[in-house]
Amino acid sequence: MSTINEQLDSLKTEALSSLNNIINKEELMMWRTKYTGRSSALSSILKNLKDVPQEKRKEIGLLVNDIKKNLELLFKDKDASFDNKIANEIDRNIDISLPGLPVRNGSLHPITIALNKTLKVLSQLGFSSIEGPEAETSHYNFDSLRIPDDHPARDMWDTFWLDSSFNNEELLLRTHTSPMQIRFLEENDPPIRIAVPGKCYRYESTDATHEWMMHQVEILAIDKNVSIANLKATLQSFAYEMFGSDAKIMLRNSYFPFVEPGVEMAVFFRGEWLEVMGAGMVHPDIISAAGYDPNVYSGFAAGMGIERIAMLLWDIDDIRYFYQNDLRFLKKFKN
Amino acid sequence: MFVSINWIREHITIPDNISVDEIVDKLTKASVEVDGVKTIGDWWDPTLMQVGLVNNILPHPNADRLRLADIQLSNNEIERVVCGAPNLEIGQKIIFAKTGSKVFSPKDNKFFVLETASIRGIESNGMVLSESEMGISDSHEGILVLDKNVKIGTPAKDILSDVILDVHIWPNRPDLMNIVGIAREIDAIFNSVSTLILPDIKFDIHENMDISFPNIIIDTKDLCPRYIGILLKDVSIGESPQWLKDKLLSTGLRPIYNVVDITNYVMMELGQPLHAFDFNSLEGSIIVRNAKKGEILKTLDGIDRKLSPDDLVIADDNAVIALAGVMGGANSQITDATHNVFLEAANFHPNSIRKTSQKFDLRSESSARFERNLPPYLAVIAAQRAAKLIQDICGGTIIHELVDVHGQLDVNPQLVEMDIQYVKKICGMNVSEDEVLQKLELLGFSLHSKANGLLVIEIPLWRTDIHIVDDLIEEFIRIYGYDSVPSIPLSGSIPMHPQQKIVGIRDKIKDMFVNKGFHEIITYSLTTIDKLTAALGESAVSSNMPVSLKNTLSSERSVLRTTLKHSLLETISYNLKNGQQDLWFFEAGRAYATKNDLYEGIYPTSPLAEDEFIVGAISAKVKDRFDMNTNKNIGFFEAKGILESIFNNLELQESYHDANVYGFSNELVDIRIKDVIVGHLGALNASVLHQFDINESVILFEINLGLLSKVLANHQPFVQFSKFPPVVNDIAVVLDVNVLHIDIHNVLIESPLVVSAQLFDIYSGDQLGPNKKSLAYKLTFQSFEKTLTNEEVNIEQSKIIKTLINKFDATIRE
Repeated sequence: MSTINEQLDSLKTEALSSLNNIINKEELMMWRTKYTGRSSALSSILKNLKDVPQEKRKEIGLLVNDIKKNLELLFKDKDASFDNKIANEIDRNIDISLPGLPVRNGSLHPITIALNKTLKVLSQLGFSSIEGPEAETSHYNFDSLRIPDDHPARDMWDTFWLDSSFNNEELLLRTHTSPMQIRFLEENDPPIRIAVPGKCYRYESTDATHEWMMHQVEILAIDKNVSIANLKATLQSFAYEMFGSDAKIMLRNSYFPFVEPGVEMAVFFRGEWLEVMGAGMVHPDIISAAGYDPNVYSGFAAGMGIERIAMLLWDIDDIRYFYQNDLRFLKKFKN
Repeated sequence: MFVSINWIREHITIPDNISVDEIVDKLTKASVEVDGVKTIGDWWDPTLMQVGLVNNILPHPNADRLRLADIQLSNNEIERVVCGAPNLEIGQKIIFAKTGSKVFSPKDNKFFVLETASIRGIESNGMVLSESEMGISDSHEGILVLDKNVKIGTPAKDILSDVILDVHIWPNRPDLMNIVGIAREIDAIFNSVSTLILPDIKFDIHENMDISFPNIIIDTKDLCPRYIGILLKDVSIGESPQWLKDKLLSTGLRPIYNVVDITNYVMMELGQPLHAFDFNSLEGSIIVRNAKKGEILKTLDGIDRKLSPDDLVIADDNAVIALAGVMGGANSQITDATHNVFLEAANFHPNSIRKTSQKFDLRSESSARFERNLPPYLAVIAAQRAAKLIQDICGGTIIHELVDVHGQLDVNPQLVEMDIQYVKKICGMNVSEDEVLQKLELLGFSLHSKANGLLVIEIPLWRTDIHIVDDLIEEFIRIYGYDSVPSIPLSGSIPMHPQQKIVGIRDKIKDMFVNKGFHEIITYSLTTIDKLTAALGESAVSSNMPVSLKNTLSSERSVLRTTLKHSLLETISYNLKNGQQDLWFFEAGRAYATKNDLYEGIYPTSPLAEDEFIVGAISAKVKDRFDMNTNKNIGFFEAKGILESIFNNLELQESYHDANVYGFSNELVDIRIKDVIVGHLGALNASVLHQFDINESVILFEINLGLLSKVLANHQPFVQFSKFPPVVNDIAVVLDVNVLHIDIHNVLIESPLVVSAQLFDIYSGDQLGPNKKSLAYKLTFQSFEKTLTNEEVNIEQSKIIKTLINKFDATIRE
């Protein structure tokens, strides 16, 4: 006589193999009754568990329940597969290649995307983003930045003048975001690390590479012992994050009245050296005008045009696209 | 400024192994920006383009304007060519192009290969070239005539090829606005040991008593620190020699008369502007003074300039004869009848020159140099140089030593103290005194002395831009090379500057609109009164007049915008015209207004009131399942739904109220938060749309970010939701049509047991009777304390219904 274990094994094997041959719900229901129903062999083993020797009773009981549970699961799976099949037969002509229900895609303006990217990189370098007014006095835009009216350096910035004044001072549309250097220094003590984004304006005609309205980000770092080497490292990290890990930078001599020394940064990108920003060490006059000792505090500043950066990033050949706001242009930029 | 490398080579030795590319590269890195490089003669074939001698000239038998020229190219080689140039003369040395040679045709703006040709019946074997045909300049008035000493058969390439750099000079470097200055700079950059060759300034003096030297009087020594005069007698005015013309042309200046050309040449060579007067047209003394009110000077360009006491002028006893340092007067200009020349070499105060040249919008080569602050010593050298050249080229006698009138001149060089520790700190690297000094010396600086551990540096006379140690650091480090400076990340604590509130909320809202399917636009801040009026209405514009510009690029950009609405409508109009549909746009930007007591914009200290808005508009059709437009336009309620969703995400409780804003239809609401109107939303009316040439319906909304950021609440703390089961009941309330949903809704959610009341049906029809409507709500009852019984729910619901009946004369639909 076979043992109960052997009996259970063969029962299980039999149930599994017969399940494979079932092709409809009726047969499946009969299969279920036969193997797991009240009068099934499994049930009768359970009923007669008292005949099993005491020491094996628990083991056999667990085993039977396990098999029963297993067969129930198999039954459910098979049953569900019949349901699906029925559903499929009803909707036999479904075309899964049909489009999903439409959901709109919006977009940020490419200048915003480039600006966000710039500010994010700068934020990683510790620069907080601060904004300021676009209409400025000539004091903040020029004089306090060492660009007096009687100096030819003033000619570097063609200016829109406003028919309005403030405390008897002439007003203008800021030509750079640098006035915020001064405004921020008036109200904050070093250490300072800020990035100033915003619109700027130049009184010049528009062509493929010039716009009279543009966006700039100016950065300013002032602390004890800030050096040219710090400036170089900061600009290098910036270029690395913005233009990729193979971006090389070059600093060249340049001139801006509010920095000394003054440099220009070029980035080697897509096979050529491209000017990306002007920079330099904050002129000691500006540090002392803010009330700090230039022998103790030093700093650097840098300014970049976001249109230029966006044009480089996406290989856009005409700056005039940006403010035309043609939907076909705007849709191309996916953050 | 255009800089000829050949000319540079006359002053310094550039080693052969240094290419032009390398010069350009190093100049750009260490000194000035090179904007362009023009190569002259790189395409000239040395075997085909050579020096020839005009041996003989014969008339052309068939054409009056053409002549036949025999050009000798070597002892036994003569070519006959047909030539149309009027300036061709026997004995001239010229550049001859043999057949087969490449020549530039200025007329067609392209190259061609010269072939034997028959011109009006005569065979022509080659061509006598003009400057334009060689690509030297665009001058094609006649053939290029060479110096008589050039040997026949010399390749043109050997004597005329050059490289011209277009150099952008920073406003602080007047010392570089000349060839000698650039040569000095190149020499320093290449660590060269070559000695700068300065021009020859020796001339002879023949005291001559029959002409008396004018008295020079400087009235305004502060504006004219130095004035040097030289008088030349019996000068022959005429054309300049070719070498001088060529040099002027290489700098972009046009030759005129020899004397004038020489003043320009010396300016280009040494950087000092000079002026030559026709001496015989002067009366009495030469006076440097301020102009008198009402004086008028016709300048060399033929324009009458009304002078004012701000303007520094040169005058004689009778009249103003020049706008000092800016431009000469027509009344004393050099003409072909001039015999005696009075030459001026002066130093003028930069601010005064700049003011005058700005006022008259008269930017000359001279004013560009003076306004950058020239050193007074330069006038002496330049005067001597010009006198020498005039004597050599134009003949005549110099009748007197140069007369040098000046006030107290500081002839000692400037000294600047340098602390090497400070240099190290600012550079961020360890450099030795010797290393710094060595670089500075290349540029002409020298160690004057050492005192108290500081180096005292003597500044060369030509560097009027060096005042402080930081200026010296720039000089050192640009020659040392930025490539060799180490990269050291900023150290120290990272300062935390708190974010401006408006920035955070703006960025958040922008992202939300993008997620709802809007495209962000950025438009111009300048517009016209008409555009603003079309969008805002006349009364709104006249009560908040836009700030206008003093100088405009176009009448389309004449005022600062006071709204963003017009920009949005212009963008919609533009895109519709370009065949685009489905326009969902928004812009976050500023509007500008004059400040007043009540109103300051987002920055308390800004000169204008600047406000930030988010303005959005939709001009689109509802889409079907296949993303195709249906007949229905996106309407007021779709847009309202978007705003509701956005305010919900901002954790703000907004409400909508009747509004009165210009340009909208009846579908218009104010958006309020805690009774502050933060914006509005509505459908634009046809007349506004018509003004922007839009034939589609447009829903537009505006949110004032400044106001919004003020009412913005902190994050709501998390509130535990009820763990007890809800009971959901539907009720339908029949009301007068005028009763608002919001009022009913407020009553429903006032009940302490109602957690939500959702409108799910609106019905009106005959069954209800006239002027009635039915609003159906799904009420969710729930308690935080216990499971509600049906009885409790029913009691609460009856209470609610009672209130509705009392307040709104409602009936409940069964």
